[in-house]
Amino acid sequence: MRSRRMRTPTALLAVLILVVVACGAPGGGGDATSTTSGEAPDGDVTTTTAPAGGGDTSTAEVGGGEGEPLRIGVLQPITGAIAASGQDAVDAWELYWENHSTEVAGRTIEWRVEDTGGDPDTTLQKVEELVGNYGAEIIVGALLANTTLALADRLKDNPDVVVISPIGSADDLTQRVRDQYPNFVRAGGWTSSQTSHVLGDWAYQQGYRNAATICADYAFGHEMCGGFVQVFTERGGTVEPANQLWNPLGAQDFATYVTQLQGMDVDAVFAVQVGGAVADLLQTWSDFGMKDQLPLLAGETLTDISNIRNLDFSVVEGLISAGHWAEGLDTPETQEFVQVFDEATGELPSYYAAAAWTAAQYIDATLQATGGDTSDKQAFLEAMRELELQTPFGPSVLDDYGNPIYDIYIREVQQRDDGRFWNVPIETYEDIDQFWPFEPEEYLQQPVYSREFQGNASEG
Amino acid sequence: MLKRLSLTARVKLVLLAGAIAVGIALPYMVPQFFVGLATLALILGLFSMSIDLLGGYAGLVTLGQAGIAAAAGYGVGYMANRVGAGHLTQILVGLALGLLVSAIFGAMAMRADGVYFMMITLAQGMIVWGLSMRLTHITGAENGLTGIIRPPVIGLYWQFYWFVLGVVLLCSLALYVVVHSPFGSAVRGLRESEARMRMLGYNTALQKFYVFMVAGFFATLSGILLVYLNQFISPSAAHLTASALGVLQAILGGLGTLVGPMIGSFILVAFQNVVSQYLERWPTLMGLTFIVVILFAQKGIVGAVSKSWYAWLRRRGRDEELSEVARQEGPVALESSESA
Repeated sequence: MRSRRMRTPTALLAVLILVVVACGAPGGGGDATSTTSGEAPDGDVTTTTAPAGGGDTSTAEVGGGEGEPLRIGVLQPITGAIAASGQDAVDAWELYWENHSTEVAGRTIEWRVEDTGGDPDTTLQKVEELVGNYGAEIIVGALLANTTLALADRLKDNPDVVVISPIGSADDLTQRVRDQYPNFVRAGGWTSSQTSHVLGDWAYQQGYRNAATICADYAFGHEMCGGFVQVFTERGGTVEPANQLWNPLGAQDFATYVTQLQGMDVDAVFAVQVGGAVADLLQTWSDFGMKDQLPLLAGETLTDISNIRNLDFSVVEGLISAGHWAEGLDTPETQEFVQVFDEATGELPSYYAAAAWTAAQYIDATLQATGGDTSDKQAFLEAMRELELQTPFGPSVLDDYGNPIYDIYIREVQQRDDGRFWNVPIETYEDIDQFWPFEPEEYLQQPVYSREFQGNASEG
Repeated sequence: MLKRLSLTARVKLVLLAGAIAVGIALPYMVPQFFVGLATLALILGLFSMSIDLLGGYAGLVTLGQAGIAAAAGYGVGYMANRVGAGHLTQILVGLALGLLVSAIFGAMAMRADGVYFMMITLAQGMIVWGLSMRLTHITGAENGLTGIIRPPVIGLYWQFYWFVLGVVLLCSLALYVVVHSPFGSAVRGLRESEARMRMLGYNTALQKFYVFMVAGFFATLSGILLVYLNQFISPSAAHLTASALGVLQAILGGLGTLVGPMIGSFILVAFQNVVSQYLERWPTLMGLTFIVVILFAQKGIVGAVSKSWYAWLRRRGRDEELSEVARQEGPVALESSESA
């Protein structure tokens, strides 16, 4: 009985599988460009034409002609562990276009926000949706380095799309593997080690000679930490490899780490954390009374306003950090943005917000420069590289590698008149590119910073 | 021949044939994006079916299946990105790695059951995740491995879709054969009462190892397909979330039904990629859906549908048909309708 019941579906399935194979064969055969029977898809390898014929929007809709709307895909994590930062970016993006005309040089700016969930695989699905289905010519995203890398990699061979990464800061995308990503640019973005290079120099200038580090154990932490360690040690400072602590991403209890740091004979500590770990580290640091004993030098995200705004002022008062973003910077561009964002959301803007706003500003200005023409994406990028903009970050110009040259600020957490606190620049390093203080050619010879390679000149 | 089948079997066959027909015709009907989603859903469905074999049939709910799939994916990715080997080598290494990991995990877990089995597999999955985060030279840590290109024969999205459809159908067939074989009965015996199986002379630990290997094989295949779909792999492929989603899909569709996980997979992919376009709070809606399913349809969507179907048969007075079903499927199939 049992075997007979099985036989029919089995036979049916076998037949249907044969049909599948038969159907798949024409397109899957050796000569995919030749058209076979009417039923078979016209498999053209070079353009990804759908079997339905012309159903593929990535070639059908991306015209870039004048008068057509310019579709932009905004890819940010608006659910998941880093949703707060992603939401900041989306808010700022929308605020920019609320405060500026969406009619630019004859093109109407349209966009669709998609959620990466902070996951590379999801990001790839959303890229398909935005480019293939929505017809986006520009993708603005993503946030985490791994999602940005997945995004850039998926679109690197697509000449019809420009990828703008205002937040994702993986060093190599505009450094060693730059040539693989001809349509990738960091308008409004940064590289991880760009700001910590400066902090390494500043720390040495302050007279610190022996530093410890505590950084999140993943690429961003490795790169930021390496930037600090390399410049600090090349200037003459010392970082004992044993004094470099690495905590897992998402660590919640920093008591053991802080205790270890207490026992070290150092005169400063460099720290980088992201997300919820920031509050945990800073609170522990303060609770253990370390705040008055040992200077804590913060990588940009450790005092980013989005990570510290809910802490008590006494925990963060006077913390020193280096950043390309300083919401307390007293320029019209910065304060106009801070005010707009504050009025709309009731919060002071994080660097995630400033980055998305600046990316929108770049697109706006580039469109004006090309007269609304986006048909040639390389020409569009070329026009973007020629811009010199006054952004909320300060003056910004793109280097030959597609990364902005900024003023980098040494920032201090100070209280505002309204009782809230923010990062105020106390010193400015002008026109810092991603290689400073090294020469690009020389710098690109060394590997990207990792846990193993921190560029430590005091080692051995 | 059809006449000799019961009404229930005929309806099932018609539905199955309809689904396969739609599956084959899909690239002609919808744009590229949706074909891509269907490919993803098929692959995740296969992955979830491998979990169903363990969870639904053997009663061993696993939370580490993504570790096996990811190991296979990393095998492919490593050969493609770091070694630059050909596609055959990539696939063989992927298969070997997936099976090796299955064998190790199976050997570790074969003496456990219930919650303990779940915890062991959870740890196993996270070991793969931890290694993929840590072995930067091999896995690229959280930046992942790129540069994985599909074999040219299945390079275009619709070619790949049909290929995946074919593989998934073959695998479903194989799984159907497995669960209806004597081995499948022994596996169900594990779920019903391991002590009795042991009494009957079965080496239950070995049975568990075998079924773990079979499930591992299908998870391995899904891992290889997934890495060729995304042309990318990163640690999140091995994360607990990926394993748990596979289990959720199976529960949503109906554990122990094989077709349920596939249905669950399509629903989940639709939530993630289609509903999310219109609704920012799509995870809330998804969560509510799960709650409703757990509260009102404990055997998942497939369970609920068959329950209503048998209730309808009963109202129509087709007792003859019901006894036929009972004879074919065993009294278990009717349990849900009788308790109603």
